[in-house]
Amino acid sequence: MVTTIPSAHGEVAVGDVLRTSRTYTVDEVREFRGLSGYPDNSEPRYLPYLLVVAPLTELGGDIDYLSGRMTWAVTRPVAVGEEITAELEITRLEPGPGVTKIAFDARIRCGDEVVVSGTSKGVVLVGEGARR
Amino acid sequence: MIGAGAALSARRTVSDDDIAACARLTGDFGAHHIGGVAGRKVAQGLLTLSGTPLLADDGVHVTGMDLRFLAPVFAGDEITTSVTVDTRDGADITFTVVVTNATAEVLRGTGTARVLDQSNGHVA
Repeated sequence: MVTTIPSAHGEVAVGDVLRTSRTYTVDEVREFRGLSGYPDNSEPRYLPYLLVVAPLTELGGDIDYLSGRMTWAVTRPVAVGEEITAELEITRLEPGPGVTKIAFDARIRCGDEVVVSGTSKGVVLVGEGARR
Repeated sequence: MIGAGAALSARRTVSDDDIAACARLTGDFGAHHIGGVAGRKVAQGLLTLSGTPLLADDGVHVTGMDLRFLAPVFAGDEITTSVTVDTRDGADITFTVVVTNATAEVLRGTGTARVLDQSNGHVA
């Protein structure tokens, strides 16, 4: 039997790829700076690193993911206004009591160029606090 | 100047509003963030990291990170984020990030970054 987990995109299994795109504005970068505790109205050149990977956390939220470990490599800074596309490819699902262990590969692309690549593993909540 | 041995830290209390703002900005509306677990909302990992001094700097290009999330951070928790620059070679630095709550480490990681010129994006 194939292990699946619920997601905002329906049931997903190993091999499935979740994908989302976003473009951050100057105002959103400023709001993020405020949220970080470093309010700064100067014109940002680059997206804060954490906003570059933010669409991946959106995909994580779609599967109620709690991260245990994540490792990323970043090839270049991403300019404010560039569209970024996150891809999360599930590589392992292992059901257990209350949680399902999960591992995935992840990428952030600007067009065809991969600017962030990495892996993560953790758990998906399947009991209290879960989506369903 | 960010040199080897430099240590920076920041402290904050995570609020429900912070978690909601982070959800809006990232799109991470995971049920444990919005509905909570056992009545307490769990902060996004990205929110936990957001106060990290070096990561907030437009003049620092992070080139890699390896993070371990050791325990959840809940709304109402006060967390302290500490960054230590371990090495610097030209514009390239390595650093260690540790986030603690009142009783224990909740996150620990290492990273690499390139320090850019503050004014024009060229390597300092």
